[in-house]
Amino acid sequence: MKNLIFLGLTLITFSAWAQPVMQFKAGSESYVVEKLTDGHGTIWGVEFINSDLLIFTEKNGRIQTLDLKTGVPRLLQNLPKIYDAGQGGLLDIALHPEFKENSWVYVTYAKKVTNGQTTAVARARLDVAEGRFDKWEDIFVARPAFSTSHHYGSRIVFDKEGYIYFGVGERGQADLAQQLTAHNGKVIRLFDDGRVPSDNPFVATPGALPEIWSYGHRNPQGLHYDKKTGNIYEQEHGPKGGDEINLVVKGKNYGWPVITYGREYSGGQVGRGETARPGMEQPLKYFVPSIAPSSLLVYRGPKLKIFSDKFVSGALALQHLNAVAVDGVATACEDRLLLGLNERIRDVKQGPDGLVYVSSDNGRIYRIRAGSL
Amino acid sequence: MIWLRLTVLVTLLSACTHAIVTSERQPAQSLEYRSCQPIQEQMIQVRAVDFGRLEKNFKNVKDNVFKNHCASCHFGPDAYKPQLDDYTAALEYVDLNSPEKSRLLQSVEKGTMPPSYPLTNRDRAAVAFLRAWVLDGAQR
Repeated sequence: MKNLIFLGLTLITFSAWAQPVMQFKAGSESYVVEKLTDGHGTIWGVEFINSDLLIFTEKNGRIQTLDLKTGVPRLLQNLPKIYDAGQGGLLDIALHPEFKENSWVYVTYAKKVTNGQTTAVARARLDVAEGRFDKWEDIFVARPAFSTSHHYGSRIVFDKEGYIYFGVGERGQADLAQQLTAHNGKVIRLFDDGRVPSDNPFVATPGALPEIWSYGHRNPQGLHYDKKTGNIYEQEHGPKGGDEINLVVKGKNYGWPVITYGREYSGGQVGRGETARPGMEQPLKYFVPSIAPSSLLVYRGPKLKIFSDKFVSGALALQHLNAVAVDGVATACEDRLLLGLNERIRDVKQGPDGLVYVSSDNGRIYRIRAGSL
Repeated sequence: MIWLRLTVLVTLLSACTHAIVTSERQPAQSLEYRSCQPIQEQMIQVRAVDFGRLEKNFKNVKDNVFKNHCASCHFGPDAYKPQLDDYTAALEYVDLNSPEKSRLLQSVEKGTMPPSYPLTNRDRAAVAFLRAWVLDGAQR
């Protein structure tokens, strides 16, 4: 009887339409990687509406759902107007913690303004049955804007109190990351409608932008709220080396470009070449050379032991899925997975089923489950 | 015993959807990072659809052409026309008298559809199967 129950569960986990593309072994554990969908643009952000329905953004501006029972994607209607060029476009997606009640969906995107482009956050209500958004409204537009097309950030998370956090890249203006008069190079914290909480750290600082929660970031493209600990973790691109995983704390300075473990693309040192300074936070982990991380997850749960209690992130440049211990030091060991796919891994999420879902710049979504073929 | 039979069944079902492992990759231990444990990766050869063995009917076109390349915009009652998961709706875009002039076929063969990645550049076998189905009378 026990065996039958096990087999039943196994059959439920197997989706007939999901295409196995890889299996890997780590010690005595075996895992299967399945391709769930293909043929899209760069899939920047992935989120779950429920255990059977996934929603994802494409950098080109499209938002689709993917029915996990059938594998059929559906293009949603009334999409936000975005600016798609360089690293800009439609970026991350997140659901309001009370999405079932209020239907709010949030996205970060590159917005065209009069003097260039900038990172913005918009929200709209989604009618899932109709497959249609209602009117989009910006709740945040970063300033200043620049005509450059890189380092927009960004990822979105909500904490248990319903505050929204997201990263804004420094848009190639490194010094702005240290200036509280600009949103660039910051992690931002707001109410869900865009209002500024009165307990943000720089609300009373003359000249400072009150939306800022932490600063000294370069290009944050990983952000994760860990429900188990209440911690917010951030992962950012360094230049040539110096990618970082940080524990984000209210009002703290994470050092870019004053301290960094990276170097200029030319090979020269950044600034004075410092890696530490009083009043500036050290990363939990840094990567030299860069892996180019574009997402961050702290995996919690028993289903995939290889990821349990680890930071899991996608690597763009080094094209793999990276797993490193949460309590690790800067030299902590890593598992580098999915190397054989040869794909830029863009987003990583833990599904309601406890499995890990990853998207790629090649327009594919994969799922990792325990077991073998 | 039942468990054994069902396990065999599952194995056989799996074998229908993918071929045996064809390549193995042992990630190299880099001097620049320290691996936590040895990882053995095995790529699985995805068996291409053998269109030559498929009966030219709507179900096979839907499952092997439309679902892979058109579903996000053309599946479901609210989809853009033509609704390609419905035989009657799809047939409105097939000209049975002059099948070569069928809008369904022309939009694909001229590279108009799918708009961001013409199928002619990605899966010529799928395009050929679609053509064969249309020219054969677009059978249900």
